Amino acid sequence: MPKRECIWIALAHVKPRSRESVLSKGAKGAYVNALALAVDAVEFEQRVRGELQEYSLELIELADAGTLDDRLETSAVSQELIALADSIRVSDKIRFGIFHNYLADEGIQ
Amino acid sequence: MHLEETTLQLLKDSLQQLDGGFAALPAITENPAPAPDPRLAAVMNEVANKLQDNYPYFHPLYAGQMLKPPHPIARAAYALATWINPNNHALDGGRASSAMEKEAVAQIAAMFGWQQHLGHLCGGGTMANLEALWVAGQLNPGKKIVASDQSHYTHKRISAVLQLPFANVPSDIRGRMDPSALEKMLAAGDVGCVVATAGTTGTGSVDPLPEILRLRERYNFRLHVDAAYGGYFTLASNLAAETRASFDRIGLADSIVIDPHKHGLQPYGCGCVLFRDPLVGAIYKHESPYTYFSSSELHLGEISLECSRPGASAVALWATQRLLPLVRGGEFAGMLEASRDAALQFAQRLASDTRWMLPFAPELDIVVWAPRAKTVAEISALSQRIFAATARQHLHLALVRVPFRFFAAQHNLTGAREDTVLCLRSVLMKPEHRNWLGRIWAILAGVADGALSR
Repeated sequence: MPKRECIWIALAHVKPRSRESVLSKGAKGAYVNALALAVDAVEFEQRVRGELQEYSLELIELADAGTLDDRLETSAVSQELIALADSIRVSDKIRFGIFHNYLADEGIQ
Repeated sequence: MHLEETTLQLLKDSLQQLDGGFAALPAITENPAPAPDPRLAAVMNEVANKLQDNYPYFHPLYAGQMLKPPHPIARAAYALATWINPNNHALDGGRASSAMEKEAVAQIAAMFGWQQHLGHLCGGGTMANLEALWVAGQLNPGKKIVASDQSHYTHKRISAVLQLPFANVPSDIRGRMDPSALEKMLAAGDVGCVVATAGTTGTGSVDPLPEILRLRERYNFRLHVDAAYGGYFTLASNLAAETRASFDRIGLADSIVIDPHKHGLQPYGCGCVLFRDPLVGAIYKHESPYTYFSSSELHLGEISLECSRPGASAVALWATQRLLPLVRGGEFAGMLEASRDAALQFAQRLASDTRWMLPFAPELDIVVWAPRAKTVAEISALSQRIFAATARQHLHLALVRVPFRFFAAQHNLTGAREDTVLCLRSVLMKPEHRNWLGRIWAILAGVADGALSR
């Protein structure tokens, strides 16, 4: 049975690849909620990683990846992310929530 | 591997060193640890599997209750001591560990400015508070014990055990004892001991010691400070001025309780009670009819209500304080400052996000907050939902029930004074929490008002 395309969601840990990244000045990295259409986790990660490269960001980790439907079923998703998901249904673009920057190097990863 | 392994090598090396001290003994032919027995490994695997049924207290994404593993030095020293298994009831039971206990406890007393004191380690804050209130009751028989309505429930329970009357002093909207309410109670003339809390376990609020001490000048009462959770923060350089003023006066109390197994990096089972006047030792006086006749020196069993006590706790504490001295500006103080800083940064993010309500700024490293809603029922239900939602993403918070008035005044909400509300709580007691705030916040932001709308 072919896999069905649906919206995936995960928490991405990113680090700047260059000084021209979209992160705030001085940020060593950031956490951001990422959403995209994909048929499975592998494709989702590939799409997120590729998109982040456009922003000069390196994907360090994609945590708690799952479908948006599962997340809504078992947990809760903020209005900000629901709005992003709605826009994906129209445009099929990869969407990111607010980048939560951190300034110091992370201790444990 | 998420769990630290430093302890294992430390333990192996120090075990050999310890063994060297007993080299003159004849060999034990009935070896107590024979060739590897596969049953031991099987049981230990079973133990490890059972222990997986826990929240990950060691991990920075565990930001719930006041729980974290001990420092590797404490873990190694405790384990090493179990090869001897000293009992600090008396010198006969553990000469070295008794001396280490006295030294370590004196260092804690010195942290509060006490050059002389009477004190010892206990099983935890409950036993330590029991001893402090027992002494208070012995000195003021039949008189009332009073503590803030946000103090730990143990004080009420202990008072009942000691058959001493107990009353709660109302707290202000920041969870601190209200001095004017205390004065009204003192005016009745039947209060023997006031328990001030230096860091409530619910919200981290610190009772105002300057005002309470001013009242002691007018009304004669014994002052006990329950600093079980907060005591070590006296070493931190980043307290608010009001909080610092209270911490600077802890040494003026008659007795203090502090828990090395909370912020002192120790395994559970390590509380500490301190008395400013060593003469209270006379209250403990008893005669043991057996065994301990090898020394005329006052031993720890003569100044504690608990008899058998683990010498290993004293060894672990001594080792930790040897490595990380209890001094301002030191490495240990830096850990407390990092935790406090994490709490301040987290509170700042919450205060600037309209989806959340912060009742007051954290005084130590506990942050209490709630999802924005209008009624007690809504706030409580949403808090529970967010608690569950974040846990699914491995962020473990805690729930706490606090008076609704903590939020009502600040956020223009209406409700009865006696209402309580279930809200969220984080104890950011691991120094690593500061570096993990970005991730913690991103998880929280991802569920925030989604939990509110479902």
